[in-house]
Amino acid sequence: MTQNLALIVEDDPDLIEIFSRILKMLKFSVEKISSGSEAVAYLAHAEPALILLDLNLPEVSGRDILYKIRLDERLKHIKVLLVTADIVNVRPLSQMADGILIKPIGVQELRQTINELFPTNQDSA
Amino acid sequence: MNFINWMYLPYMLPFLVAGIFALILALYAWRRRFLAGAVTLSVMALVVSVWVLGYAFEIGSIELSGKVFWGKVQYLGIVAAPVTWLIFILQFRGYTRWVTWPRILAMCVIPAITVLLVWTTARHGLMWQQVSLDPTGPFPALTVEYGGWFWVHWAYSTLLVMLGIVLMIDLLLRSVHIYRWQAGLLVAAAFAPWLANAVYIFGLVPIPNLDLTPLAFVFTGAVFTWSLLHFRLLDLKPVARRTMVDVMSDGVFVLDTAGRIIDINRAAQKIIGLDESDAVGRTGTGVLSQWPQLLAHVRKTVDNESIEIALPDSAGNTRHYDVRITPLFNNGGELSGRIVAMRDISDRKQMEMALSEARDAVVQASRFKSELLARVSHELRTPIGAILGYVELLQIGAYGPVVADQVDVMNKVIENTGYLTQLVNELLEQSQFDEGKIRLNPQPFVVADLVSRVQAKMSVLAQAKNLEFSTQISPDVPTEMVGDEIRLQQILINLVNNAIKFTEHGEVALQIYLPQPDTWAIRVSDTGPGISAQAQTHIFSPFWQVDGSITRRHGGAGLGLSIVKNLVTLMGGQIQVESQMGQGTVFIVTFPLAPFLDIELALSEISVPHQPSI
Repeated sequence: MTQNLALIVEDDPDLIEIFSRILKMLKFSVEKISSGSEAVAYLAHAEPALILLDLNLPEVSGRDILYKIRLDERLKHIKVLLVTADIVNVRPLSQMADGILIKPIGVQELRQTINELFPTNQDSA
Repeated sequence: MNFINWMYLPYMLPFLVAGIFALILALYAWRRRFLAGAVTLSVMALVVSVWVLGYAFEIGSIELSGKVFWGKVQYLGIVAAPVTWLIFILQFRGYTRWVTWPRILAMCVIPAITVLLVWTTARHGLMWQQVSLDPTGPFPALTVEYGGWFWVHWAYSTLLVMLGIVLMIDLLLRSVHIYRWQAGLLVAAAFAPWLANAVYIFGLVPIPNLDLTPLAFVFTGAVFTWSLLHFRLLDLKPVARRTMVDVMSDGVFVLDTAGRIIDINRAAQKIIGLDESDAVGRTGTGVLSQWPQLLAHVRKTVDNESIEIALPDSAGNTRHYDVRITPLFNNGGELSGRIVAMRDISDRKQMEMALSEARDAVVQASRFKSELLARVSHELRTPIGAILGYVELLQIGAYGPVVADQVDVMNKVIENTGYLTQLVNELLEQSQFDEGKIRLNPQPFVVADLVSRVQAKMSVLAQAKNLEFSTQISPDVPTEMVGDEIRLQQILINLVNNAIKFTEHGEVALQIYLPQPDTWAIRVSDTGPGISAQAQTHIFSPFWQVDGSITRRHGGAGLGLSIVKNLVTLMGGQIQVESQMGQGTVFIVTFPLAPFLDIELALSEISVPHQPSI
């Protein structure tokens, strides 16, 4: 597990920019990936501490990635926050995720959620 | 052999002609034997022809022995004619059930003895005691002195003929006016042989020794055959039914077991495109060949069956028919034919199709609306997220320092983004309800946690308007209950948010309590302007808003209470509103106390052993 490494898996460049700004404020180093298959390839050799995972992704869906993570001994301790606009389909996944954030996501909401998951990462803002 | 030794005499001519005519009648009737009674008529014409031709040859024979031979031949017809006559009348009157083979054979006993005795009369004289030639007339005639059995035969034959006549007169008296003359003609035809025979027996013939009885029988047969073919003689009885069947709008035809059309009404003639005279007697296969589907059904039907088929009409348009096929059984229980009734249901069918199309269109439109709402709501979330994220980042100085005025503007952007988000949420919720996609996820939850979360979220809004917001949980409310916590929170936030939105002064209170032991309730009260009685009937309808200006200022699509009501109903609860203008508003939501407790209760009851009574 790489301390303070956060992975953003999101296909909207604006949201990637916003999430990455917030994560950097929270002292995370940020890796940005915009497709499901790239995320799978990345996780084959990396172990971030936190993943912001969009459900609706090209190629491999966020749901499949979540399953992979939770079934993998090496990855299953990673904190995963589901980030989605799909209110309906995200609910069944709530047990497997460390949190669900429904778009649109406010800065305060995201910061608060991450602060709760990583009490030691002090907010810089 | 003197019976072939004969000469032509002019007196023979009418009998020869009549005999040949009777033979033609027999053949004619036989070829129409599918018509009821035609077989009997055919046999009758045949036996009469034997009689008439035999008599013709008797006249023409020169010698006594020839005349005697032909006299004996005639008896084959003479004895059979009254029997066939009575059978025909019985059938005609509808006593077909009575006419059975054993009875027909019984009726033939005396005629058979008569034939036997006439051929052996030279030995015993029971029929003819003496035969001689009478040369006094215009031709040498056979004269006989009748023996004892002759009078038995004569009485029997007369009895049969009279019985027939009586039955016909009875019919004449009963028949419907329009058929009376026809029945009268038939009675007259029935009288003819009897009259002619009486005239002959009593020697009143203008030409001495000429027996006109066989000629009269030919006349009778001709009248009957003509009636049978032109008036459907045997259909006389059910006149009303016949008329009804003929004028009804449903097409009806009858097929015999060989598949021939034996009856057809006007409507069916129109459907099939054939006149009655063209259709009757033709096989259904020939007439209905262009409708194999109908034919197949008709052929295999042995029980009442109703089918719907589509057939092209003469203009080539498709018509829909409700076809009812009813098998006909004779008295022996054998299949004897089928009635096919066709009702034109094209108009009904068309209406059904139009209705079905309209319904499909409405369903499709509704589904499209729901899909559109869901998609729009989904697609709006990402850009709204970007707006909100960037503005909030700007506001906290992530892109450099901002001045106070800019912060105010950013707050307004954030505030409006919040309304936009609420709108998007409501649209999605509504579409989910419309599609029946909302599923509840009931879990045990801690009531106090739920209420404190609502308080935390809502007190900010209340404070901003200087309103007091209080929450209270009655002590008798269970600590834990079962329900969809997220949906319950949605209901609470919606009601409290509404109360705060419309209240300018005073307080908003949220209360959880048990109005009854098996019911728990949410009560949200405010000191706002109240809702008029008229408005109260609408507030739970989608897209309805109390006041356009207030709602626009506060955001939302007017779906909040509609969604609350839908959720409450889905959870098996009820929502009601109590309000008077200027007196504030109270919303009360009641739910049955969750099965969570009931299950515990039930388990505890089961585990307690039954107390023995003292």
